[in-house]
Amino acid sequence: MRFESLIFQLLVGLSTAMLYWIVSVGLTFTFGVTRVLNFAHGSFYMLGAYFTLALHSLTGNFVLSVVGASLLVGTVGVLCERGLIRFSYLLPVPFQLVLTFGLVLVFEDVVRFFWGTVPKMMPSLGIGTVKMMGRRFPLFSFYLIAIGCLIGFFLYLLINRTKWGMMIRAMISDYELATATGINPEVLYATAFFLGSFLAGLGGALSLPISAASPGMGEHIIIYSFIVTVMGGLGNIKGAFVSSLIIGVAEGIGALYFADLTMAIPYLVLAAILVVKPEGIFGEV
Amino acid sequence: MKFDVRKTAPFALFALFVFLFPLFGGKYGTFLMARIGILSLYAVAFNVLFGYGGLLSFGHALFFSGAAYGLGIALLVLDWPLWTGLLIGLLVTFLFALVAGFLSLRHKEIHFAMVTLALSMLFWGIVMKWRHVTGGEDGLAGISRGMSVRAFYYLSWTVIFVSMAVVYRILSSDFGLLLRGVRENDLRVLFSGHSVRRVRMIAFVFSALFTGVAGILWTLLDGAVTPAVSHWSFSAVPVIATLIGGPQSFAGPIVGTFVYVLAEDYITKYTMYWQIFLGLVILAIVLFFRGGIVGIVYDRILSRFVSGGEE
Amino acid sequence: MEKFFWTENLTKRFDGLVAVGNVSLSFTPGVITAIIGPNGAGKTTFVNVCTGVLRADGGKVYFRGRDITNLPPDRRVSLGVGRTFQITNIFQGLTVRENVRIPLLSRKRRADLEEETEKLLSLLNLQDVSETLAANISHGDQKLLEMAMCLAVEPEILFLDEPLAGVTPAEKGRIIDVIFSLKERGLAVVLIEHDMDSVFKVADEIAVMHRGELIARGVPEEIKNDQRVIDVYLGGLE
Repeated sequence: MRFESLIFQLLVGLSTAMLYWIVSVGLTFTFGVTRVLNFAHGSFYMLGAYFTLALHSLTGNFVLSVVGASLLVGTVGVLCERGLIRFSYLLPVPFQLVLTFGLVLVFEDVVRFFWGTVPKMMPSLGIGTVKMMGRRFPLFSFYLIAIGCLIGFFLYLLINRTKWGMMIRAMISDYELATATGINPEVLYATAFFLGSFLAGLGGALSLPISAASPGMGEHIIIYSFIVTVMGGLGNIKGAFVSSLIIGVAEGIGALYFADLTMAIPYLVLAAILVVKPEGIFGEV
Repeated sequence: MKFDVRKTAPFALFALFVFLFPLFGGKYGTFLMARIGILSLYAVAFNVLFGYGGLLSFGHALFFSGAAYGLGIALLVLDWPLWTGLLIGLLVTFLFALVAGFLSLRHKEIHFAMVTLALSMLFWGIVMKWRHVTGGEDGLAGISRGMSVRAFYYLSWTVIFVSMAVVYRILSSDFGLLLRGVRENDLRVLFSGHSVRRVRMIAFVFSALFTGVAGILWTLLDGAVTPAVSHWSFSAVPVIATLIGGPQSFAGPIVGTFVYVLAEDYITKYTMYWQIFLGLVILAIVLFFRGGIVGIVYDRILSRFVSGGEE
Repeated sequence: MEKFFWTENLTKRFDGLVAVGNVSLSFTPGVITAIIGPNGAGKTTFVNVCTGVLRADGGKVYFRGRDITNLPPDRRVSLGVGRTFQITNIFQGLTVRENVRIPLLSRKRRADLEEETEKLLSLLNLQDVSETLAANISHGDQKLLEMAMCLAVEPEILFLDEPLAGVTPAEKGRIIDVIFSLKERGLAVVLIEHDMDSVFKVADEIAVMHRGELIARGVPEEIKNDQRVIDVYLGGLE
């Protein structure tokens, strides 16, 4: 019995880890390219969930709604970047942070205005469960883990095997040289923001079968994404994956043994890692 | 130091206004004004690190709520007398500052902001779950300040003025100069023979302690502590207030807090969507008015009169 | 004679690339030693390791018989090791007077701060701009200000990293005068400089670095005629 619940919690932990990963890789990627840490990334996550709800009630097709919502959120992200955030690239860091924080406040109220403050649940998708070791496991958790791994694989291909990825890498490693050789940074900033926001929206959409959408969901996830990215090293994609796993699993397993501390666990893990390695697991400097 | 009428007169007028306010402000007004004073002290303490030290803390709620919970727990859970509660509150803030300073001051800029944010949320997580001590989501209610709102108004504004005067003295001392040096160029401070970490740590502890004083006053005014004051959105309050007022001057955070609290109070009377206004104001400040209100007033108006006379 | 400041087999690597390899050099009070070499020879890295900006990967740094290899920069400064930077390193947002005051504050005995400030400002001819923001004074004045800040901590050895880079000819003369006055005050001066005319004019001794290694050391006459040095510089021009 004890062992089964351990496995169960491990599965829960892994699937939440994948959610953290999908969202925080978007955050850390846009940071790596633009050097702006985007508070509004959590709002994009929230928008992803609400857009999916809206599209689902129109089409009745979950997969279609998820893809559509993520693309929409990606577009919102580009609009924010082109319309506002890009003007902060040369400003001191505090102003960048506070600018995106201002966006958070705006988006939260916009969502409240259109959808209200009451959490909105997704109608059951009927995905069902599988029976293993005498216990039912939600099938959706397995889907999430698969999607998370697939995203990692596609990101790897995108960044390492495409011309776009090559230009992104060139710009990150040497901005002067990259722009001197004809790379247009504006296009890369915008596309990077599209990708990052798309991932945030996707994360929000995929959170729906697990938890309800609410105006506070963005705040919650952005703090977790911050923890994941700081822990893994800001701008480090591999670090985001590893620390998502650590946080997700620590939360899942921790709930079993230290139920009282669940809310503090991610922060404790981060504090412990920062004591040992202040620059994060894969961080430099 | 020379006595400068131009600098002293506005201050004296302000003090007079605060002194007379309860006579015409009404009960709610007096309460709101006490609250503004407390949050102003919070913002001024925060700005020691931000405006003068160049460090953006996104976790000052940790020190505010540390003192608040220290006080609340001492009074309500341990049933100790008020004065020990005050001491415990400050002691908790001091210890929090030492630990948080040790962990966060190895970083600068974004990392520093993120680490302070995470540490404050660690405390929030504990507060929410450690029910039999902190009261969980409900917090601790029933803290008696033992005097009327008006009496407490005068007491707290006295503490606020004294605290601000101390902060002002510190910032205009040689230590303040060192701190600005660290903000400008920490490498050069190092090569001037000073330990940058020591300077930052001292400023950090100062900033935290005065934040703790604000937390204690707040708790006594409200008669209760709730987890809201340990949440990171409460850390954002002095950040926003300081940006509205302008981080480059001592008065900026105070002006900003007045505007912030009064605007919130006014707008929420008419609409529940107050955040959207706040968000738009923040966007406008960051994009167009980075000097804040004090910056605008100085650049557009005062500088015309002052320039030439100042040299 | 008691050895003053010296390094033993000092080594610094970046990702396996040797930036400074086994450099043993010593500096003497009242002597101007120039370190020259082509770009990327490891001169600045050497100074960075000597002054504590970078940590040594091997070898030792000694000052007055004491091993200072692992001391942080501020401790080295209070022992008497000062430096300037290639890119002028001052407090841009503070006034010239405040700039000078900060290093003065770290002196052990806090004699008359105001008086000391005046003394330094006048020594380097900066009284006229003392209330101006450091960002708004001329490049040459900024270089002088940086030297004033270094002198404020009363160093016994001063590392100057390209003090003449990008200054006007008139300013160059003023800075060279200051360097000579440092020597007269008995400081050990270590000068990294690309301007060979000035180097041969002011240096008492010259050390030549190439690809992280010390390849020659001697008085200017010897260096001028050293075959390896000539090869390196001609090689560098190709």
